[in-house]
Amino acid sequence: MLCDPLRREEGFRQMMDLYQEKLYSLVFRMTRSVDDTHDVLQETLVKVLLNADRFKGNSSLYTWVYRIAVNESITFLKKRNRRMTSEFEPDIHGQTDQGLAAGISEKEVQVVLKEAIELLPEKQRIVFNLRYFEELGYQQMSEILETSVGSLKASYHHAVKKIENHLQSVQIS
Amino acid sequence: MSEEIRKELEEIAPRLARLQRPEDVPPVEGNYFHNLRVDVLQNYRERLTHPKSRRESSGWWSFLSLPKRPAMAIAFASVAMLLVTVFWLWPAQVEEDAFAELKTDEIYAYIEENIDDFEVELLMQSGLTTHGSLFEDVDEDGLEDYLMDDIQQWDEDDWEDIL
Repeated sequence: MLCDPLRREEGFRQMMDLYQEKLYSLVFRMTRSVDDTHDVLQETLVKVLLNADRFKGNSSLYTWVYRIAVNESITFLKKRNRRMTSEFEPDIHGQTDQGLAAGISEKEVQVVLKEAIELLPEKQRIVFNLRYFEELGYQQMSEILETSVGSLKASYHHAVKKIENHLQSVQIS
Repeated sequence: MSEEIRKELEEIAPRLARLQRPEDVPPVEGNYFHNLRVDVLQNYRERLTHPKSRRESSGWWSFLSLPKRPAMAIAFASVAMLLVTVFWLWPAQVEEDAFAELKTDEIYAYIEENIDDFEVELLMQSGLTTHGSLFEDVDEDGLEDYLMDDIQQWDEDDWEDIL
């Protein structure tokens, strides 16, 4: 339906019913900003509509839309990083030094975990998010990121190890 | 969390596996997605009727436009020739003892510049195999892809792990 120009808008509404929350989560985890998520998501969806003719069904619609969302997010992050000022940088060190003594609450553990994810290099963070939060299989991630399965496994394992080391360094057992 | 992902985590990161997965995405307002659909469809219709004009020659290859930028093209060709000359004059073998006289920063710089020439198999023999489960189920092609993709983002700790 999405590929048919006459029924595209109806197809779009159906697609949104299925994927809108997932797409929102995906983009938010990459941009970490509500405003930026809105901009990236809007651009992603417009591109889905404009390029629907190119969707050949070689992958699932879900994978194809995810790929556009990931690419849009990466493009956005590159632009943002170029003009980045300190306001975008998470206050990781300041927060990490707080409340890390024995008896850390669950909420504080969650903060530490989020910080550890923020510290990952961009590529590893994307792979980690797709696997850990979105629970995608390696094959599907490979189609979305256009990277080999082996490379994704290495990237994910490296990211997980870094997070584990971070948790260990703040004595979360 | 699916059983597959939990098991995978337990093997390589038991602390992380035990943690509750954070709810890190803030909830949206009730009519957010409705408004988003309206905005997207409006934007889509506008772009259909007024498509953006393509920028002319925006790629890196625009340097090669000789009639427009002869000086840039000559400079580009000179740098390319210099790189080829350096490549041919660069010693094929680096003596092992030479590393002893190099500073850490110089070694990192050398690796970054010459990573294309490294044999993945040798890297695996020299250091990566000590990571145990970290790379055990990754084949050589996958590892090569990973190194090529991620090498620019490595920090000092990553290099120390490898070296």
